[in-house]
Amino acid sequence: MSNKGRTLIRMGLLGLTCGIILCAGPASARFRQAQVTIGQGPSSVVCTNGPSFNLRATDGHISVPDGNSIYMWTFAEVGGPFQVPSPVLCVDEGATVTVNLTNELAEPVSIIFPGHVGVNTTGGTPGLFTAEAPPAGSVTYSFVASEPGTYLYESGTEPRKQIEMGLHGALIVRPSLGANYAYNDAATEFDPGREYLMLLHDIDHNLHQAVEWGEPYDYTTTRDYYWTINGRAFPDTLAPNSVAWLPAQPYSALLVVEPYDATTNPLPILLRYLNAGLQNHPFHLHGNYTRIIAQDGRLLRGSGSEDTSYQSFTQTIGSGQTYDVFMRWTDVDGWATQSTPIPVDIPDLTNLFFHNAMTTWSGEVPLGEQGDVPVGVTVHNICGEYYLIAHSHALNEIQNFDEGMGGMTTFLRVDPPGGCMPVP
Amino acid sequence: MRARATTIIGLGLIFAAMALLLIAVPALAEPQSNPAEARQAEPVRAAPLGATVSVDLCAKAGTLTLPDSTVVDTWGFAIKPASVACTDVSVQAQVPGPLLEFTAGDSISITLHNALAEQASIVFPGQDLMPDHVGAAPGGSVAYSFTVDEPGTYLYESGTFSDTTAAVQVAMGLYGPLVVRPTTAGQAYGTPASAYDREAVLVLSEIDPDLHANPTTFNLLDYSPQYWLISGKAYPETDPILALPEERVLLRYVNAGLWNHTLTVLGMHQTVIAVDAYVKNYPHEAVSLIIPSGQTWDSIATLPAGAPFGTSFPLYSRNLFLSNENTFPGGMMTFITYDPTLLPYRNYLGLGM
Amino acid sequence: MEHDRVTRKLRRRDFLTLAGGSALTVLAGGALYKTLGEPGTSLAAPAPAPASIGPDVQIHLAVTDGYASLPGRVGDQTLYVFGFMEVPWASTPQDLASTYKGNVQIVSPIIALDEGQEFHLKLSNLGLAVRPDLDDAHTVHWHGFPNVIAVFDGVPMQSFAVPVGKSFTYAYVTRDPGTFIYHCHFEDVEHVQMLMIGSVYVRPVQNEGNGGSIPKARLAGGASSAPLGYTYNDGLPPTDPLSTAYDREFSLLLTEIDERPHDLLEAVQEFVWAYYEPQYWTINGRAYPDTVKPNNDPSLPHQPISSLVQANAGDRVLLRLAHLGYQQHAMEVVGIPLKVVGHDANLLRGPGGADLSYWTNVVYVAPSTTRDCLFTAPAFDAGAPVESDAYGDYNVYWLQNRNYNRQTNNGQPGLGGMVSEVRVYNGGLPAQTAGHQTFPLLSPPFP
Repeated sequence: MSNKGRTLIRMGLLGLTCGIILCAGPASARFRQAQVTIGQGPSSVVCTNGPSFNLRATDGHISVPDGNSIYMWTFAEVGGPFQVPSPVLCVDEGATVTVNLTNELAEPVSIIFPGHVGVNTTGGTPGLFTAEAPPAGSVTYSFVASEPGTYLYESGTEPRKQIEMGLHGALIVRPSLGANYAYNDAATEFDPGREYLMLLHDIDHNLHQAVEWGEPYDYTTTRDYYWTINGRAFPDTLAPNSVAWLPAQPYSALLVVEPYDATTNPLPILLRYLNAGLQNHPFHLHGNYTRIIAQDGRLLRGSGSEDTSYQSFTQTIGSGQTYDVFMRWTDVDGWATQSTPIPVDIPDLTNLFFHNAMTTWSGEVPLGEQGDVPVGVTVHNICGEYYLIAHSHALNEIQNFDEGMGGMTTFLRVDPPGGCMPVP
Repeated sequence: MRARATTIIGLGLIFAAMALLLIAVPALAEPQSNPAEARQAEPVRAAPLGATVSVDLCAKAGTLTLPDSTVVDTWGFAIKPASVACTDVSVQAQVPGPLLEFTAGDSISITLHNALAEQASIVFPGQDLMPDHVGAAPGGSVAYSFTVDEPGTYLYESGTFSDTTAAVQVAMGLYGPLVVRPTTAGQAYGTPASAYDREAVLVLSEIDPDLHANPTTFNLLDYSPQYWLISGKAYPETDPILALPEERVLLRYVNAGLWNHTLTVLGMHQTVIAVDAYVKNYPHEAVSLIIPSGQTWDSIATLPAGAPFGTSFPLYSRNLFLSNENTFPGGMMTFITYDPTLLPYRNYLGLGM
Repeated sequence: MEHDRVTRKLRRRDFLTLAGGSALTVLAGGALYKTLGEPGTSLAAPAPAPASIGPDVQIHLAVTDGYASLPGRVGDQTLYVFGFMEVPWASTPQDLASTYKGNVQIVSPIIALDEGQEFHLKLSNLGLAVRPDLDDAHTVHWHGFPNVIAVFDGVPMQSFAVPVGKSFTYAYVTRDPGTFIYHCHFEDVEHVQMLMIGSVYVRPVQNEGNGGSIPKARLAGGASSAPLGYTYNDGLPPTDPLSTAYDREFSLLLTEIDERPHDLLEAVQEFVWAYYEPQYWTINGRAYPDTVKPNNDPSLPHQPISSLVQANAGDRVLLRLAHLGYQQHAMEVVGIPLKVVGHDANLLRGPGGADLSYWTNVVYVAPSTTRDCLFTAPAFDAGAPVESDAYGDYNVYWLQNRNYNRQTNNGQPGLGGMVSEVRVYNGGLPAQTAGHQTFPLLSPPFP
């Protein structure tokens, strides 16, 4: 039945819950943990290569920066660990993709492949959207990955519950033109070392707790409390791939770019946005426009091959949508301390506010330079690189429950030309 | 029989009203069991372009029964037969309102007869007439005349918002789809890129039973839908969209809801050819579409070749409003179904006729 | 730490030599709009050439708190807010506190710039009158500014913020025309909701004309027959169907307001943002029916920016739609289709010239996006309902959020929320001489 108790009433309960269970760790400590590891490992997309995959629907917990842990379901590799999100499945265009799904959960599960044609199923039991693997059972899906691009794969069984629980992941089909192209178009070449997964999700942990404890849940009163990119909430998004302290969340969301240069760095970075959540998310990347080159695995081209890509400073990723976007950053001003100083005075730094434990500023204005900052400010900066933020601009989504900043947030790191080497 | 066809205005009114009544079922394609009849149903333009089509609509109270047997009070539009009063029990309010189907170039005369207890009106976004936010008093009527110049998929809805009703009239059900066909049969916009074999009008909306129970005192801050509808029905009562492999299905989405919705089709891409009846310069393919409140989208989904008989392709809210209240499955979901009983029929026209 | 940054002279960029030096900018100021000369006149005159050294434009924004008025609020209708307001350039926070502290305006001034300018924005943090204990720092984030560097991006973690009693000057070169937004990025979910938000846009160098088929815009001193301006460097004469020329220009910044964080802040408490669920929906910080009052209406001393759109029949109107709330909105002008020509400060044109602009009845506006929408005001219809004011008869078209559940002020009976009017006059409305002018032109109510 309709339950429309106004939120003010529920807030009292929240305060209590939060105090006891959920709000254990200050985000700043987590930030330090994430931040010191920036640049200490790769953050670009990690492929699980196909075209045959053996997945198991299973359960486990993820960690969020406010100290809570959330019960999740996922498609993990058979023989591999529980991980959120499910593995990034990478295949080549034209390959016959085979996914053998075994079900370790107590209810039927399935996989659908939005955007793919002619998915054949073998075994399993009939379901609403596709064949399902019953508990302890299995089912096999196969299809030809006929078109390159970025796709979701996700549960087709009670999707309102199972997709939110975590039964979703990314599928990348690489074009025949080459793995450093997004599509079969020469204009879609990207920096192959700078390919990033941006898989968005929204979570009401009350659903997850109800599922874990076998309790009822009212979907009509749902409300999200956690928002993730690649299964992590900020600041965990900044840590490299596969850090030991996030054993079930292997995928970083840190973006790294070097200044555009027509000769030495002509290629853009590629961001593959996917929204597995139920809400549309307006994602805002600081630093520069992004060029939207494809939606839902289809290059933006007119019938006469006209380039119909466009630029946004915020791209709204609708529920179930994917977008491939190119990003460049150009050092248009070329500020340099001596030859090209900025046209305004930086005041005595003691007259400015710093996040004492959370500062990424180099202490200098130009890219690649480092300077001093006031005593007491802990700076996480390696080489004078810039950090620029990237986040959902539904700003209520950049929280971890009642703590900010968190949630659907990450950083874009702008490295000096040639890369980031510690300043001696 | 289509909703146009005479140069005689007086008869036109009756014919048009009858025709509209016939097609005024929630507008999803139904099985075509008799292909001979279907062929006869191809439009035979008996009237010159620019005919005058008259429609009489009632606005009146009614009810809507949801899959869990919940019954909510509604306000809806209905076709008013000649010589029958809107208050007559034979005139049933529909949610959504009847599909109004015209041909580009027609001159339209629509008279709204208000059988509600409050002021009522209609606005026609995208049509060439001054929006009416005043309308007719209870028991009165108001007439709208305009020419439908541009083919496409449109919304019509209540335009009445006064100091007491706000925009509750639309939420109560005073909305419907309006389709303008080009003179070229089998095309949505008179262009080869808009050619299709089957079509379905998908009117999206939500139901918050509390609003329907107390429309005049409802607090809009409490709007919290419990049912999500396609053409007035929630799954499993939604109409399937029946088609054959390789057929092009024109999906005419009309978001009459108060919320924005994101819709997905599985097993194929949709090619978006128009938004708000404006043809896209460059159609694009998509799986999932953000369809804002009040907007219409036309996409063409082509069923893949070689699908086995009975294959069903889900079409559903990717915001996953797939429950009726808290019961799954339900909500904003239907299926594009390969119905082997269908006979191949290119350029099939009409909506369930 | 002392830094040796005492005197740093501007080195003008080659770019400015080529593209800059266009018309004197219009600044949105202390109340609404402020020009560097006399209001409403300097725009029509050719601008003096910019000095060879120094900024082309400088604006000083002070941050403080104050109260806004919302219909539907219980009691005296006031709501506690933070914001930016324009103050004299040379003032210090200490000079300003006695006059401005606690007197902020919402939404923040419209900042109108020209392409190719060097723009200095000084931010001074005056502190809060109502919450002197709350010593929040602040920043300015120019949202969407391309190729920004960290110290001018206004994200505290990634550079620094401006503490109470201090100032900092941000510098930008306006290389790209288009509609942007600005807001504070310090504790942004709170400070943005507290209404530290404003519109900033860059007018194209095409306003200078090309000496031929593209006449100099009136904003740049062009003839009275010329368009007021061009939205982008479209390279087209105003008569071209794809031209972005316009006769009137309006800036409409959307946001929602959840009164609870405002009230809690005022009462020294914290809000849990997961519970964000607004009760008010505003355009330029006003909810209907306040939206239709003109700029600087005396009844709204702290909300000087109108949401009213006025035009004569046949005028080409530019709506610069921007959004800094957290929900997604379906905006429409009932009865008038809109042509979207700009998307997040980019002319809707593909890299090879493909025309990506589009007509629509409803514009989907997600948080932190901007859309430039053009329409031609329909013919005046004397047979339709007519209202009249000092400029003669006009027809009303509703500018509204089609998410009807948001057409309310705090759930009170009657129409409210993100609703305003497009008034189409029968030729009697004076020409705009600056962006976002509404008529009658009213004086700023306070400094």
